[in-house]
Amino acid sequence: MKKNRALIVPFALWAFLFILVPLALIVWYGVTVEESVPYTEIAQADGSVAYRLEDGSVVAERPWQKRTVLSITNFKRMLEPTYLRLLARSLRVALVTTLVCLLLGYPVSLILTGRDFKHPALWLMLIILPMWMNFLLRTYSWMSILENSGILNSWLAGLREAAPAVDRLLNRMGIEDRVIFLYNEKAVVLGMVYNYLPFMIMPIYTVIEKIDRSLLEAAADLGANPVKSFVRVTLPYSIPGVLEGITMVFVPSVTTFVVSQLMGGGKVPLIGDIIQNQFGKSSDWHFGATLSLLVMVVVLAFMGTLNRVDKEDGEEVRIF
Amino acid sequence: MAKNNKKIVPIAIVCALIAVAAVAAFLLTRPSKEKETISVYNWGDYIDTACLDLFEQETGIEVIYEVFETNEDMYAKIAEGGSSYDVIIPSDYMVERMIEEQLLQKINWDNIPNIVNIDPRFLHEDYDPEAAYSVPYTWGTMGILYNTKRVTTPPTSWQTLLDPAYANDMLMLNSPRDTLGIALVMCGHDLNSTDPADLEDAKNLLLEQKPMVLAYVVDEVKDKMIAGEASVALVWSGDATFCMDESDDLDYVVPEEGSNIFYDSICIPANARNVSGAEKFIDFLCRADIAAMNYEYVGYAIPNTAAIELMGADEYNASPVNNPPQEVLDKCHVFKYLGDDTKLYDQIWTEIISDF
Repeated sequence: MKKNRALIVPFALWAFLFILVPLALIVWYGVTVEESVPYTEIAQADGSVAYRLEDGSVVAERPWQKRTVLSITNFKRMLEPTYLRLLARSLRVALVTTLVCLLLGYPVSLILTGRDFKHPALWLMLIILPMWMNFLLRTYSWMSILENSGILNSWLAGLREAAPAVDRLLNRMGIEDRVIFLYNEKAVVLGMVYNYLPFMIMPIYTVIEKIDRSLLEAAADLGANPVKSFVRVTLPYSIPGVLEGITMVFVPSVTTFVVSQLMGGGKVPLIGDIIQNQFGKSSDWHFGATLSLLVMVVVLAFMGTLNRVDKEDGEEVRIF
Repeated sequence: MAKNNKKIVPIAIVCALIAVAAVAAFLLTRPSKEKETISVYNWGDYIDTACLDLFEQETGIEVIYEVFETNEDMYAKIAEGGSSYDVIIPSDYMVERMIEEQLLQKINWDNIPNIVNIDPRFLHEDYDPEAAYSVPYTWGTMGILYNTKRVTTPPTSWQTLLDPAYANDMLMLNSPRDTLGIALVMCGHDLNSTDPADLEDAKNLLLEQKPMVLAYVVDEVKDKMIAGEASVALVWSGDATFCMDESDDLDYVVPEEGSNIFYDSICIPANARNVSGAEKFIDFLCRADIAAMNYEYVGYAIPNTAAIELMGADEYNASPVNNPPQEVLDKCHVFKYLGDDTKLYDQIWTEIISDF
């Protein structure tokens, strides 16, 4: 086996270059700021203005140079209510997304692993198939369905025209001609659930599928009804899959951007959008890096908590 | 163990093949040494590439053409100094910044005879007051794009964007500088103001407007306005041209209070390798037929009088995008480079959009 130790070199190199170095860069950018070189204007005898730098030298042109200095300014800025509220909203949206994914994904996994279910592999394939397409394309599709001028609204208009009774009913319910489905937090959650649902189904499915069926048969033999055998056998054994699914959905959810811009119409910005702005339009990489660090700490804390739950479960399979 | 070794051989072969292909690609794409070249760094989709071939045919100078997406991307690449370009096309405030940071060189006008084609009213703008460093390539304004079917009286004022009649029926730009700049104009302040009191006014105005805004968008504005998603939108004139080509129901106006006018200008970086080649290329771009070709392709208004005459001035001037009234144009100003105050704008903008 010793001979194969050399095989780890490429990975170690890779990890160093593409994981450790970028991480160090983010930390460096996060704890520094760029500031203009300080100077004082001094009036010259001939009426022109010269500029004295800190080291005492005098230059004729206004100094434009920037310098990078260590500073906690960005950490102070990060703790302002604006950004903390953004983080709180991102966490809330991510939690709701994860919960909805779990509520949808668990039953789906259960049905797919059911004994009477035919061709589970085919169905699993159909669930994963949309992921072969770019997520932007899928999000744009949702937009053209839900827009004011979208498919759903044009169907509604058609229905109103075809059936006056429906029109009257909708009017009485206070629904206007065009229903605004997009541009709110619910639309953002919908976009995220659609994008991340397969990440919840896959791990849960894999774990449930591996549960020894004889355990369920034994439970039935010993008089447990299906509900009881689900609660005492399937559920506890599927917890590792559930925890993995939660991680796989929650972590990308917290850092989501673009989906929130497109589905929320820029009115539901998440922390990911603001970070993206710092690296783009506002070109303040330092503050962008500081915000990234904040998100990393939150994600790390979350993963740590989940890990602990996972370990406790590992020692004793049942949770009830 | 033997089994493992067997697997390593094909992997090694594949790696070697990839390495050979990479080296070959590198060697093949490197410009040949004998030929004179210039490298041009421009916005994406911002030139009719047929022009590049024409230039090569006429002068024998090969054009290495690269594109950027934002001024900031371009700036970062030039400022770090690793790469050398001969011709770049930044926007006004970025020209100002690059002049200040000594990243551009003065252009020798003796070598650009076609500069006479450029309308003098577009020279000597605030970002390059001596008209020494830049040649305007295209220009545009910010204004209101509106749906003529739903907006019956053509808007003339920015107050349209505060009109409750268009509640949940208006689109704004998700861009701190542009939207705050227009809000400053609406409050009667200078659109380059960094006075916290002025910006507070602009912020309050936008917060008041927010419940009526359907969405804050960037590029999506085009699709949405063409589809009739909203009745009015704050847009750049270039996007307005695109939308009006696609839909007959749309029209554009630069409100009477004034607006932002922007220029993208051709410049030569301080560290250019082939200055004489760059001058030839700039002169080529200022030629009437070439400027007309690029206008047809890009769609932004051009400052080239000779090209406009060549295409037919009446048709060109009929477009409200190309020809806002002079008295409105007089009230349009360029964005200045704000330096550290950019952060202030970003902070205020974040407060506006994340208010809930």
